[in-house]
Amino acid sequence: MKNIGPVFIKELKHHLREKKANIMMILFPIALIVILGAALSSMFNTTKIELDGVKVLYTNMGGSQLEQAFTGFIEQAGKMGVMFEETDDSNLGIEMVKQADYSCYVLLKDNPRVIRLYKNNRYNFEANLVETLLNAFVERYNAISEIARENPAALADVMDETDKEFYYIKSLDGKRKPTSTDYYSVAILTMVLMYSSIAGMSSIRMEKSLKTGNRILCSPVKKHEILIGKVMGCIMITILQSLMVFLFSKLILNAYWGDNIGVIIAIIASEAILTVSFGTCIGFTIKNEGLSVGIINTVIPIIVMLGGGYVPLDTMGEFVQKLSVVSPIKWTNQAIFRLIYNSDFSYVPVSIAVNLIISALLITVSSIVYRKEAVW
Amino acid sequence: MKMVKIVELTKKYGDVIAVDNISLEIDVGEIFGLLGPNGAGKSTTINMITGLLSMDKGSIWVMGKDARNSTNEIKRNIGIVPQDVGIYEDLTSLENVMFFASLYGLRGSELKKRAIEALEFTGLTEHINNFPRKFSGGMKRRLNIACAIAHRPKLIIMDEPTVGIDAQSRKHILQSVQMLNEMGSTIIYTSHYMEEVEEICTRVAIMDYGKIIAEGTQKELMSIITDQNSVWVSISGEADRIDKTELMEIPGVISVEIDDNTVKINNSNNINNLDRIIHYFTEKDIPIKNIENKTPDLETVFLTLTGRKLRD
Ligand SMILES: Nc1ncnc2c1ncn2[C@@H]1O[C@H](COP(=O)(O)OP(=O)(O)O)[C@@H](O)[C@H]1O
Ligand SMILES: [Mg+2]
Repeated sequence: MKNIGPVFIKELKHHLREKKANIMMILFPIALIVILGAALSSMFNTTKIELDGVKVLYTNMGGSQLEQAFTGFIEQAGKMGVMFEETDDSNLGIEMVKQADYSCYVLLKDNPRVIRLYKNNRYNFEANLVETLLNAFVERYNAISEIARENPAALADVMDETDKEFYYIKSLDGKRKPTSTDYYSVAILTMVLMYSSIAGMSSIRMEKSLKTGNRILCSPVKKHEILIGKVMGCIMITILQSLMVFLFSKLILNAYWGDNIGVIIAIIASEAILTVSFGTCIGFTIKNEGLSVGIINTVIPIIVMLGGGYVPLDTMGEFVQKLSVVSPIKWTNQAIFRLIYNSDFSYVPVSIAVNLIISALLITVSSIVYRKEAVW
Repeated sequence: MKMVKIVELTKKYGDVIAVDNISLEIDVGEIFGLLGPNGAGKSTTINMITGLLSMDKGSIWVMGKDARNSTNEIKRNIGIVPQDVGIYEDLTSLENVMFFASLYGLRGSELKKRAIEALEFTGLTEHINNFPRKFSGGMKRRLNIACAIAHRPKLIIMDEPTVGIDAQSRKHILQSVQMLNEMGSTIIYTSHYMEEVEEICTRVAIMDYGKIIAEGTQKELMSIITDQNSVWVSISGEADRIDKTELMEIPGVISVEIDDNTVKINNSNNINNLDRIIHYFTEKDIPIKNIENKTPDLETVFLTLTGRKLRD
C-alpha cells in the first residue's frame, strides 16, 4: 500500500496540468446551467397552474379530533388549489394513485394515530408538495394537541396563529418548487460529472501510449497500488471540479441546494467514483481508442436522459419513466431533489449504494484485465 | 553467482519464433552486448527478463533467483531503459526521475538527491525543471536513462538506448554506460549498431532470427574469421559498372559488398589474390583511389555467419 502515494500525487499533477480539460469540465457546466436556466425558465414557472390541478384522495379512519383538524387543513389547502376528495375504500385510493389519476392518497388512522401518504413512485413535484404541506400540518397538529392538554385556554390563540403561520410561513416552504436554474444546477452537475469517465479512460490509455505503463510494470510496485493510486487521483480531481460547479451555482447563480449540503456532496462523490470507475474499466477493456470514446459518448447520454438530466422525468412518457430505474443518474438525481425539496433522506442510501456497487464491479473487471497484462 | 542465467528460453508469437531456445550467462560486472538486426529477438529476450512477457519455455535466473518466483526481489535490483522512450511529457525531468525512483521505495530528501544525481549523470542538469515536451530526441533518450538509474540498480538493461539520436548524445550515452559499469552495475546493452557494441562491450552475443549465432569476447568472435581478411577498394565513381558475380569468380573471394564508392571484398587468407582484384578494376578502366586491408570487425563476423549485413 505504501506506493499508492506517489502514484496518486503523479495522477493529480497530470490532471491539474491539463488546463483545457479542467476549464472544459468547470466552465462548460456553468455555461449550460446559465443557458438552460434562462432558456427553459418558462417550463418551470408554472407553479400556480399546476397547483390548480393537484387532486388528492383521502380516507378518514382517524378519530374525530384528527378529523376536525384535518378538515381545516383541507379547507386551507383548497385555497391553494389542492383539491381533496374522500373515499371509503383504501384499496381503491391506492389504485387510483398508481394509475396517476390522483397525485397522492392520504390515509388517516387512529390508534396508533398516523397519517399515511401514498404517492406514485415516479418523480412527482405535486405529490412532494402535498407531502410537505402534510408534514407542516402534522407538526402543527401535534403541537396543538400538546398545548390543548396542558392549557385549554391557550388553544384559541395558537389556532389563530396557526392560521397565519400555516399560510404564510409553512405554505411558503410547501410551495418551494425548483426554478429552472435550481433544476439544472443539479441535473447539469450530475450530467457533466459522467463525462469525467473520459478522464478516467485517458488516464489508463496514457500509460500505454506513452510506454510508461511498461516501465511501471517493470518496477516492484504492485498492480493494485497503481490502480488504486490512479483511480483515487482521478476521483479527487472529479470531486474538486464538481465542487467548483456546485459553489458557482450556489453562490453566483443563487441556485437552491437545500439544507443538507454535506449529504448532497456525499452523493456527488459517489457519482464521481462511479464515473471514474466506468472510464477506467473502458480504458482497460477496450483497446481501440475511437471505440472507447464512442462507447462513453453513447452510454452517457442514454443514462443521463433516463436520469432526467435533460428534461425532468415526469415530463416524459411512462415507458421512459419505467426504464429509468436502470440509470444510476436517476437514483442520484432523485435522491438529491428529494433531499433539497422534501428533506427526505430515504433515497440517499439507495443512490450511494447503486453508485458504489456498480463502481466495485467495474473496478473488479479492470483489475482482472490488468492482472493479465504482464506476467510477474 | 551469475548476474543473469538464461536456459533454453523460447518465445513464440503465433508462427513467429521470436526467441528460439537460447541460453546465455552474464557475469557480474560485465557490459554484455546483445547485437542483432531489427527483429532478431533482442527486445523479446529483454522483456522476458524484466517480466513484461511470459516465457513459453525455458527459465531465467537473476542473481541466482528464479525469475518466476522471486518477482519483487529481482525487480528491485533492475533498472530498465526501454527501447521506446517511456517518460511523461507533462512532468519535468526531475518529476519524471523522482516518480520512477519512488516506485523503487526511495522517499523524501534521499529521493530528490538521487534523482538530481541521475540527471547530472545524464547531462540534463540545466533542464532539471524543464518539460520533456520541448526536448530533442537525444535529450529524451538521456532522460529515459536517468529514469532507470536513480535507484542505483545492480543490473541495468538498456534496449537500443541510442536509436535515432545525434552523434553528441550518443557519445555521451556510451560514456555514461561505461561509467555506470565502473560504478558497479552490470549492464546488458542491446543494439543493432556494431560500432557501439565494439566500443563498450566486454562480451557480445550475436542474435539473428531468435537464435544466438555466436557468443564471446570480441577477440573470440574475431577468431571465428581469422582465416579471412577484407580489402576495401575506394573508387571515384562508376560503381554501377562493377559486377559482383565477376568479382566472386576471383579465387579466394568470399563475399563482395558495394557501399557507395567503396567496394568491400572479403577474402580467404590462404590465397593471395590482391593482384587479380586490382587487375579487375584496371581492366574495366575504373580508377582506384585507395586500397585498404581491413582487419575483420563484428559486421564481418555477422556477414560471414549469416550472409547478410547487420543493417539493411
Ligand atoms: N507483440 C508481438 N506480436 C507479434 N510478433 C511480435 C511481437 N513483438 C515482436 N514480434 C516479432 O518477434 C520478432 C522479434 O522482435 P523483437 O524482439 O522486437 O526484435 P528486436 O528487438 O531484436 O528488434 C520479430 O519478428 C517481431 O516481428
Ligand atoms: Mg528491439
